[in-house]
Amino acid sequence: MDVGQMQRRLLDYTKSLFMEGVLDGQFLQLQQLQDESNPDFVVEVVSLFFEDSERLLNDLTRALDQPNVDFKTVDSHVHQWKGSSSSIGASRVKNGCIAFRNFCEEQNIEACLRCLQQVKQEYYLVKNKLETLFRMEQQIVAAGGSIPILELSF
Amino acid sequence: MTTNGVASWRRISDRIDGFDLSPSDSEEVHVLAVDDSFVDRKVIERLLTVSSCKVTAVDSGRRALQFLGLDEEKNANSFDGLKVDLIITDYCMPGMTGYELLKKIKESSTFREIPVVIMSSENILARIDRCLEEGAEDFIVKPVKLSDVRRIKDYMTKDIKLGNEGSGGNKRKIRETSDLSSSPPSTLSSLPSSLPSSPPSSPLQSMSPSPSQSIFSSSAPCSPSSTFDSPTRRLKMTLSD
Repeated sequence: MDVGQMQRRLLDYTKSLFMEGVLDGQFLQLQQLQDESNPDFVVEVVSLFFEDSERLLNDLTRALDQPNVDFKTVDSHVHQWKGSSSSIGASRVKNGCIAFRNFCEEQNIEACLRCLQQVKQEYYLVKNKLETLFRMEQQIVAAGGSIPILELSF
Repeated sequence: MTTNGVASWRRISDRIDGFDLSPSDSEEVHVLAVDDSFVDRKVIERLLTVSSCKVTAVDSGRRALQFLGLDEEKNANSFDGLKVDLIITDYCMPGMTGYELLKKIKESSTFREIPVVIMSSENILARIDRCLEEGAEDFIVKPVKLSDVRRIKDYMTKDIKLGNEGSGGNKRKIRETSDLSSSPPSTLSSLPSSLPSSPPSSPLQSMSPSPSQSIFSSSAPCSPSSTFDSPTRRLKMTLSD
């Protein structure tokens, strides 16, 4: 595969993530903040998001496992997760968190547990997809190419 | 190296400087950014840096006050070189909220002139009004974008040029004016890069929350609310034109 083909493959892959609603425009914002002086910005921010998410996932699992669930605590964790996912453009994680917060407000433990599973799945999905995306970018750079930026006009 | 639809990299600051409306910006503005989230701190820091601002990012209201020298427990640091031109803070933070930080700054005779911008993931009209009434310059609904930073930098520069007159008055009017004057779409379309084609200064952006969707929260500042992020912004970003 030559660099041009790799770049087109990357663009198609990125586009599919938008079509599926896995990523939204905020991810493009992050890509635009990356340049030669800061070539790893997106990877760095996303890595922070992954770390944050693992921690929140653990905290949430523990909080919902308590005999007397403290919904304020649960909500606080979900609020944080909603914030960070929104900031990187992980749209489905964010939407999952929005639904999750509604059930916290209702203090509906069953629904909260379901939401946790939902958000967890969406998180692993976006993690998987982004890791694939970064691998593709690395391949392009290793082959001497530059990373193309998606134009949102489809 | 470009192929169809592919943009090659350019220095971001080259693109951004082209939007800079102030003719002589020889002194960089220094922004104090306050946010408890790692991710958001990194993003806001980068957004401000590419907009030619010096940034100090801290993770709490307490640390922000310490940096300014307002914290009673620590002595004032009087570095003239570290004058703060703008404070941008998250609303929901553990310990001291952004609102409480805003109040402390406005209560200080030394620092009350510094414009304060609040960021929040929640588009709650009552919250926004409360902040504006307390003297906040603007309110940005997260996630923060380049267009948001450009906008606040715009009237920061204008404030400095006008000698801070009129900045305390009709805040909504000032926002609308800068809204119209910033970043005309034609500038965006001439770039080979891929900024979303919808103009950032659209009135549907974060500035004016749509009243129909805001549900008033209870008195606790960061209590759960059932408001959703403005759906119109999301649509503009992800659908085809």
